[in-house]
Amino acid sequence: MLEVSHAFLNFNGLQAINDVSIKVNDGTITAMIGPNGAGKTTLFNIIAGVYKPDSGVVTLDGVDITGKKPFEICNYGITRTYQVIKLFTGMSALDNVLVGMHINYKLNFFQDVFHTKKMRQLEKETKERAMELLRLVGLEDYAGVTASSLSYGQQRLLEIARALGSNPKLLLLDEPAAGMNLKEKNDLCDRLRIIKNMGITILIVEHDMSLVMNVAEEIFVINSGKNLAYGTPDEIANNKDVIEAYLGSGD
Amino acid sequence: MDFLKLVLQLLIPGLCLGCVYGLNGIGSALLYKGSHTINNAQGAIVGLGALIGYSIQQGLKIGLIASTAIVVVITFFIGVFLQVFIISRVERRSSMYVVIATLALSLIISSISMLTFGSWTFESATIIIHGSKYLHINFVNVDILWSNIIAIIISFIAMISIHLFLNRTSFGMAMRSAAMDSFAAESCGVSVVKTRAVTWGIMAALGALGGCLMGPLFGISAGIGIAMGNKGNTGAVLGGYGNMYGAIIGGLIIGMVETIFGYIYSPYQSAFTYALFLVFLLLLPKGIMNEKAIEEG
Amino acid sequence: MKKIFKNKKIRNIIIMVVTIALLMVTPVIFTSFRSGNYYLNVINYVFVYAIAATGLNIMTGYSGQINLGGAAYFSVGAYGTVILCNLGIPTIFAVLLAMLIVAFFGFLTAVPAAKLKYHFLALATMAVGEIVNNILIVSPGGITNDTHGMFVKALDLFGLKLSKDSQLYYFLLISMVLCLLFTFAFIKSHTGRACIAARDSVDAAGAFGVDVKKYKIIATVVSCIMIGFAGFLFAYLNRYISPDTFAAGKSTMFMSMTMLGGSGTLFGPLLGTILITIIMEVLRGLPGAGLYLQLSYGLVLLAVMMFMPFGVSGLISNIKTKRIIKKKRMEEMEKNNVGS
Repeated sequence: MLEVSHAFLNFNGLQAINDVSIKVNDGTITAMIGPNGAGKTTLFNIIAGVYKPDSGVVTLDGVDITGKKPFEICNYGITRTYQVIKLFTGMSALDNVLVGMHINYKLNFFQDVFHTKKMRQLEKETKERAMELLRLVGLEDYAGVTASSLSYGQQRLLEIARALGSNPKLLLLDEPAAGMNLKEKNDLCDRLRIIKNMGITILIVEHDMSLVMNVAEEIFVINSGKNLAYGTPDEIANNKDVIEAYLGSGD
Repeated sequence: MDFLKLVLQLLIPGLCLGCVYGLNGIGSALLYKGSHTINNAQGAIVGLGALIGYSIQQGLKIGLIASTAIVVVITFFIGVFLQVFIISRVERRSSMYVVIATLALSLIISSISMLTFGSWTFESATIIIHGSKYLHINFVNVDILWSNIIAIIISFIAMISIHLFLNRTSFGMAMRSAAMDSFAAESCGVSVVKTRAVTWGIMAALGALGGCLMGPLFGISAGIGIAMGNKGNTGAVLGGYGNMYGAIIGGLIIGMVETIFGYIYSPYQSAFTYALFLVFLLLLPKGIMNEKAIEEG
Repeated sequence: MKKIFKNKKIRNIIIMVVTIALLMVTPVIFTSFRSGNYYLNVINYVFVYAIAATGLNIMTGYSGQINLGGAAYFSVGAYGTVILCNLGIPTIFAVLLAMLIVAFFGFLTAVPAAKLKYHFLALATMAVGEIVNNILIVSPGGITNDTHGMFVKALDLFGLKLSKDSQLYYFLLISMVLCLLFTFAFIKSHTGRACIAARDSVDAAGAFGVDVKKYKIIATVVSCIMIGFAGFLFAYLNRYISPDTFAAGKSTMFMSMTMLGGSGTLFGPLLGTILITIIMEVLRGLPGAGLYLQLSYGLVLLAVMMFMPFGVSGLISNIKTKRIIKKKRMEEMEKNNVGS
């Protein structure tokens, strides 16, 4: 479904991405791993439209989305979460998810602000859907709570719920388990599987190997801006290059 | 000849005004570079400094230059005090709180100075050299106020000393490094708390210096600083925010333009200056000196 | 009786009915004693300023753009209506036309404002305020009567003349309630939510398809119209407008009201207006009251910035949120204990 082919990106002389190609298959949970500074997050940001690659093509279901701006990307069915949490801190959890559903609203300003019948109908439906998403990540009891007062793990889950709001085809997760305890991580794995079973493809960038091995079906390993390996968790765990890269890189 | 006379008559006061704006601009630029905020209280500090200067002059019966020197020291500590006890606490939250907190400080300082010194305008003695208020230039037959000339000279001395302080002393270097990257500087042993405090001190002192120098020309009141603080900020934006030298040039431009425009059509003098500022802010957000180019050079 | 008060719905209805009744009879009560008219006048000003502060809050509180030139829009609303009325245009059309002018003026500032960083926006809006004030003092063709100011005729609504405070009271009260209702509707709309989202995280809002610039412009224009509307009301309450009444001090006053009450909260600006008005009225008797007033604005703003960044209502809602969370955590702990 998602294909990045031969991407290059140079930051002020630093070749951050040096010919990387990945392919995410429909209906899978795919992980992208690699040592620190390998370029995972950079590649992730290329897919999400934050950076434009110097060369290379990003396609989604055959549609070229290379260099599209972040706010356009979500119209193509890709949404994301952030490594450094970027919630709408002053809004309630429910409202956060509602903003995630923003592109579904097709109302003009007056219908919207004066709460016409059509708007109220739509509002009711979207709120129900948003509550469903909160239930999916286990935050339904916190719907009315301000996002900033949630715990760290809960904030990460809320980001996922928000990202699901726009009915994406592909969900990009940037280190979703960072800062979570063991129980929360196991929970997260279950929830990701449920999301996958809803027909949403997931691409994860993650540090935590146990999580990746547990949940991912296919893994890309990236090192120094290049493809290093690709395979199932078992294959990756026994891959000599990968082991060397992790042990030899010094971090 | 008449044209040259007119040019001189506009140029010198314009330059003088520009120098004072430039002094304020330096402070704005240093502050912006160091902590990415603006200081709305600058104008009020300028007014307070000028009033203190006037009182010292009257009380101790000393001249303008001596009293100005004392004021510079006093306002330096006022600036440090404000940074350490108020701004640093607000800064921790977000730089945008500083914008409003300094606005609040501006209200507090200017109302306190008016309550203490009165809200009227004091006449400060003009500078007299060789028994005359004016320097007569025979060549074009024009009289120029000594106050203007002294103000320009002292401003330039102050600017050069700041330049030397920032480039030649170790503390100045520390300030510059803290402004570039506070984390890195801190790990090299630079106390960012100290450099930020000194930045505020310098900003207040330079502003007050400008205020004192303007006293003989416009009279002294708590309000004289408001325009100066604002225009210092304006000059700093014009010159590329965060660049000290740009801020000086920006200040000079504002001073000149304002004087010339005031000569052409004075009712809209203030509107014109602010409009110029908006135009610059929107069309040339990097200022006349692309500040990166200067930093690397 | 006790039972009735325990039912939340009924209790709320009772509170509402009592509040409305009290608000309705206020002028009757106040006009019945001698100094009452004075208090009524003060209350009327509270309504007007609360509308301005609420309007400002849409821009500063809900969309995160500072505006230190609120007085500019306030004065355009006031002068616009008065000048158009003096041309013989019926009040209602004059107001609509003036609001259109304010909206256009707001739009002119909103477009560049949406691009500027916070501190530059502070400087820019301040500059707008100064420019407008300068133009009021020296107006082209003298249409604002320059420093002499303009006297304003009694408000004439479809032949109904509102000149006394007790008459204006209802009109202003209804206006304020409508403005608060509108603000409520606005922040509960998709548009309003998008504005708040853009305030909290430009990146994330963008990633979910929110056109950040567009929503900032919408918030600014709506905010300016409301401030302008307050300006119109002010002109007819004060019955005299001059450049002095719209100097930078007014911008600071609106800012203080919004910040003290709590920016980004619905009732914060109203609360802030009431508190600031009380301070104003207490200080009114002092010699040099203007200076003490300025000093107290400064102290209030500084205290808010240092100790309670979300104002008084921020403090209250913070306590509420903490209580909900505490309750939830306790419940969860109990559940876990039962489970194990």
